[in-house]
Amino acid sequence: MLRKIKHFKAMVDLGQLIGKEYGQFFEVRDSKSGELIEVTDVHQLTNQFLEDVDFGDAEENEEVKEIIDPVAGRDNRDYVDDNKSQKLSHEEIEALKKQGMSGNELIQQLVQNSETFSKRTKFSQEKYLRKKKQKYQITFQLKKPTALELCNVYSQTQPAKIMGLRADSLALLLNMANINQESRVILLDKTKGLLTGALIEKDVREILHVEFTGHQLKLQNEIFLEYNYKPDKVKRIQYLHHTNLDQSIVQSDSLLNAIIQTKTKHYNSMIMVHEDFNQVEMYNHIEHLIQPSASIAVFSLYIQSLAELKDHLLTNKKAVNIKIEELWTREYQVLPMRTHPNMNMHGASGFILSAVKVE
Amino acid sequence: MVKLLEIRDGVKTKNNVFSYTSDNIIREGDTLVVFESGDNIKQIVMKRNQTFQNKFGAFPHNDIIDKLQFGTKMYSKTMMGWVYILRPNSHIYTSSLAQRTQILYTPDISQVLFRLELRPGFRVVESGTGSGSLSVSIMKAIVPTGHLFTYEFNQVRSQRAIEDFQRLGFYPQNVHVTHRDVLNNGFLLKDESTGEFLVNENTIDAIFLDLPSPEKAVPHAYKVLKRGGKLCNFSPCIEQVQKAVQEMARQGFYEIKTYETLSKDFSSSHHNYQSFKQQVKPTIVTEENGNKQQDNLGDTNTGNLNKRQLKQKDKGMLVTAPKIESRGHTGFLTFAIKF
Repeated sequence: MLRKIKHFKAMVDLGQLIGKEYGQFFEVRDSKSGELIEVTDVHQLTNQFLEDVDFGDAEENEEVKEIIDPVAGRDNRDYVDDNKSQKLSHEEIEALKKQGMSGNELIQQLVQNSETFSKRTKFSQEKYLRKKKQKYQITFQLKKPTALELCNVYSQTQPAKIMGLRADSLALLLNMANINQESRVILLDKTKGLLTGALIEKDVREILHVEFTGHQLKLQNEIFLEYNYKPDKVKRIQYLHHTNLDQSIVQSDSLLNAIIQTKTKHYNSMIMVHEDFNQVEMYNHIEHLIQPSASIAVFSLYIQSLAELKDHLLTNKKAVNIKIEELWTREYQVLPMRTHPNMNMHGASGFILSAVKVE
Repeated sequence: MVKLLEIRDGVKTKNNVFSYTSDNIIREGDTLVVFESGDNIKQIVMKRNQTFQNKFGAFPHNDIIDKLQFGTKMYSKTMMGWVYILRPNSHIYTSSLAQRTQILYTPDISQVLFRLELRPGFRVVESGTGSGSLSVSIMKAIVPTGHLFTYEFNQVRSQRAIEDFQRLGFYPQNVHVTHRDVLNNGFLLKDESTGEFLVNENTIDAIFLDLPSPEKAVPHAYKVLKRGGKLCNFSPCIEQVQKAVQEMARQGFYEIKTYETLSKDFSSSHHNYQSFKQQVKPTIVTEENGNKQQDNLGDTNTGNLNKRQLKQKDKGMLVTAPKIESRGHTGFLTFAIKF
């Protein structure tokens, strides 16, 4: 299959990737043909961590000092942003690219032909290099579609599709539901299969996916299909429409009644990421299937609906150890003398209710 | 204590503390959690002819073993009060743990498990063992076929850890506890009797470090990790993180990412807002109010409320607020992948 995808400015022929290992990095050698070379030097990927920053009057720079004012190079006082500093013209750069020069070599050419590069501060030089790298050196990695990676991708691009679930919230949700390979999970899920896939990844024994919508299964499982699971793993999931749990229907159908009987107090974990119906109503609809002492975990972007559920569980003594929490996760830039939290962050973790069912 | 052997996918596994039983009945030797209140949770082990005592009186184990289910209420002998007896889950296990050291708490633990992408069958290295809070969560994620190799430089702690893991049903089939200073001696491990390598170079799927000078352990970690294996470092101080991160980059790790995760707990209550416009006296019921009342009672959610519950309903608006006591810092978690 010869499918091409656009990655930054290059057209990459996916056929080249067949037979390659997950985790490998590639550099686009030529952005027109999309020819790839494997990245073999890891430091090409992590060089920003390795630069030593020099803030004092370093002695080894004496040669440089003779040419340039000693102050220049430590701050931006002599830097003029007039777009004239690069001696290579656009045509010349294009010609170099056509000769098949790799991104790294091209950037070195650009640095040598830049008048202002040496006048910049070391910090600004690094920033310049990073910018140029993004422009001329296109690298990417082949990643295995796991719950962590898929959740990261969707929360950055289409958060509404996965109900605003962030990776750190998903992590806590799975832990609060006490997910392990022994788990029998009752799942009320509207994350298009992201959560189902995350559970299969943990090798849970059984999943009962209670359906509340009439949509086609295929549409609801859009993200689940991206995990590429083999059929034997998918067999662990059972789907049940919520109307099949209505008392009147169960009593009129003896087969259904028998099935529900075997599933009563059967599940030892319950996860709910669903907002189409009142969460108290949804919980009451399925609670007879949950084993006493089971772990309950509910995610919502809205604290109000969780507070109602908590109130319901508490006043009716249906659960103990009920907790509503919100996560505060910040990623840090860790560089020598420049360590701080990232400037931009995802500010809405959503809320997680956790509890233990009792009788 | 002898536990049932179970066969799953051709693998014999001994039941552990988190194992599922369809009858949900408490057996001798089980570790259970006594829940008095949110602040008072204790772990006890079921042994015949023993008794658990608290302020409500005596709870004889013989009245529990083979009789009661997990998740039920139990009254004391004197009927002075009751407790809930629960099956431990990883969160409750962590919050009711006998702490010998500073431990990792649930928000951090959940990040470690998820971002290291632990799954059944993984071979994992951890150092130090500490009170075994994270160890138990790691084992939960990698059983039945996975194995944890945990290193602790304090001999008493490593011995206690073995006792704990045995009681919980993980030792020896899922965990190896080694008394060693890994900063100086690394992670390579040989079986003393056969001389075979238990932990060899390029054989480990994931490593967790919680050590005073993590940068010294990073080269050792690189050695035993597989290509694509993941490293996680937990350090409370940013200076430790800076040194560790630089060493990770130098050794050949990529995707080096550092996070801080804290959780904020919310309390909820009913708040009655007074209105200065009108004061409706409860004795006067207008027709409109009467209808509303009728609607409420017809609702399935509120249909069978007793007096106490109705009173609760009347308390006013349901409000939430962050709890005042809150943890300000635990540590930084750095993740990286071996190239």
